[in-house]
Amino acid sequence: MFIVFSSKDSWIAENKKIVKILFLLLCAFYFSTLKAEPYLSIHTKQTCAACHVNPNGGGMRTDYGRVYGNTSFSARQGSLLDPNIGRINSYLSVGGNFRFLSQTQETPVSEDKTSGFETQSGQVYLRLNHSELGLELYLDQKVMPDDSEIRELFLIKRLQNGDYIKAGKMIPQLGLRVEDDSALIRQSSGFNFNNNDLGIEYGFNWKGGLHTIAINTGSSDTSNPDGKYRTILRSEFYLDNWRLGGALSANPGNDSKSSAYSLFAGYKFGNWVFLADVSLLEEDFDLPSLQDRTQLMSLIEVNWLYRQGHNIKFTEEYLDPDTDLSEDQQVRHSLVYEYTPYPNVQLRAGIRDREAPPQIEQLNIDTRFLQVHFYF
Amino acid sequence: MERCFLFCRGLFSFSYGNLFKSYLLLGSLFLLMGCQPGSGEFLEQNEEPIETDYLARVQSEIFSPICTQCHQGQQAPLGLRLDSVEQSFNNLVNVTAQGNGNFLRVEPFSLERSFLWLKVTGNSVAGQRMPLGLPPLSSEQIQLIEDWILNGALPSESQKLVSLAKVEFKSEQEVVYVQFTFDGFINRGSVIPQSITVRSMHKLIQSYSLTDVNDTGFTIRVTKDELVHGQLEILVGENNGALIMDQINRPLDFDNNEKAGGSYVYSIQLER
Repeated sequence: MFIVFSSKDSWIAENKKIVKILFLLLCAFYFSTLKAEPYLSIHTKQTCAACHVNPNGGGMRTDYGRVYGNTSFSARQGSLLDPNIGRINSYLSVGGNFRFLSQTQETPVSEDKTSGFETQSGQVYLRLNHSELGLELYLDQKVMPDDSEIRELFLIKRLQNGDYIKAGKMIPQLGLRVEDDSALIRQSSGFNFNNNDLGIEYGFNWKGGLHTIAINTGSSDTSNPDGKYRTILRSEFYLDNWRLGGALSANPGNDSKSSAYSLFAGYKFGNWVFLADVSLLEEDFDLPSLQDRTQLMSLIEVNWLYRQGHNIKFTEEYLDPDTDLSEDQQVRHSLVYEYTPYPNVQLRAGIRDREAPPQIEQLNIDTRFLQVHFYF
Repeated sequence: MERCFLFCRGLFSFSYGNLFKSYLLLGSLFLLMGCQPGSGEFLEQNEEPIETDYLARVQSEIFSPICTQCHQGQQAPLGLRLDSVEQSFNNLVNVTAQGNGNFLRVEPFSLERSFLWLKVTGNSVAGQRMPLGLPPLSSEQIQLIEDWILNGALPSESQKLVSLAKVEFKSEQEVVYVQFTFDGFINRGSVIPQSITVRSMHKLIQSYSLTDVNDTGFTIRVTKDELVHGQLEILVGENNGALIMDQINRPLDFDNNEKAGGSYVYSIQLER
């Protein structure tokens, strides 16, 4: 399947019917969310909520998001899928996303060159919308590769002034919500698509920005064993070509207290989009067996959308897992090419080079990957 | 050729007026590119664990350097924190797996019943192979986990003595609560009536109740009617029929003298 799509464009053009059939077959089985792409939000000078049902970005797309995907995102405007395919009626819509991955990873450990194909992610989502009441039920359900699991399930009430209130199970957000969960700012901070919490969130528009206050269990667990709650405050300002924001999180627990801070920015410059994020995570432990720890992580990403449907993404990342320890820092460099030949289909190819202290061989990884991404 | 031209034109399409901004941004990017990984100097200060202390070895060779990329701190996925040998033991051994309730995360002496082993070996029953997004563990690392589980998944001998951290008192209309908090994980099973003495003016109170027995402490609830002249005394440690233990069944350090054992008496006089 993967080989089919990595062939030349001309092959796709000549065998458009086969491509359509294969794609529709896949879509019949796999549905999931489109993960957020902050660079697109900055490139289009739109809020995340313009294209996504979830005001925080990611997941099911709005009507505008579907139209944008069909007309302005891909190299060719096509009719591979009707943009309204997921819209059952005015109350109910469904959507999906499916990522199929082929990658090779190499570490200094002699036997550790691994390669293969895998289903990276697959989710189905559903939106039940009562527009008169401004009330929606939103579901983001992971269907593969693990057991089926609810990633997000919340009720959202949209107010007439654009504010909203959400309650339910949600993926919390700190800094930039980049698509790559293995990015150091995502993996090490714990604010990623694998962690979700029960809670409430209030979002309001003020002075050209979206500001959110969230209170949740903060345990990434199905229950709240410590009985305490995390508070996250986040602001993001939309300033023409610029995007500036900051967030802080306080998460008390039984035997430790966690605080996180993030500053992030984006800038659009012609067909270039720059992103930057610096996050700090502090863990204060009550247990003597654990030392208090401060982690520092950062990301700079350059996107060059040199033609419609083509993006070259270069990312530099830095992680200091414990600022009190010397010489423990890690870095990661990535170069990714994203090609969207048709609406609903994206091909991604890239290299990632993660460097850690040489003694930790498992974290010195060279990754080469190819990914096929279907969504609607 | 035409595509190549378009590519180059796109690359240099910005105007000179904006060059400063672009240099600023690209400059910061190159600054980050200059970052190098650490030399690992901090690792030289670590002591080598004893050969047969399997959990200490699993912790230092696998959990700490690899798994804690995600499984650490308050936001560890599924609450599975692997920050230390104490956390790892407490969150893994005999704890039901959340991905599949038919398994324990680690069942002593059984690989096939241990979800951790199924996860790191890529068994389809356990879903996505761990470590997520990283290369699989080496055969030596998997062997070490197997050794730990097949030898009973014992706690580490390197664990520090657990001592009393604080005692908090709370009074309500009819009852009083005294909460004991220790600075490490305790053996919940050892918190039994025989390990605690509650009395008032030398009169034993047997109707107290133990509430909120958790990993690091417990709370004692006493009704005020039981108290003689509002006096309350609680004894933990030696001189009781049993001792409260830590995860590796050592008595706690009740009197904070850095030796296991001893006793502690909490006493309070309520206002009448």
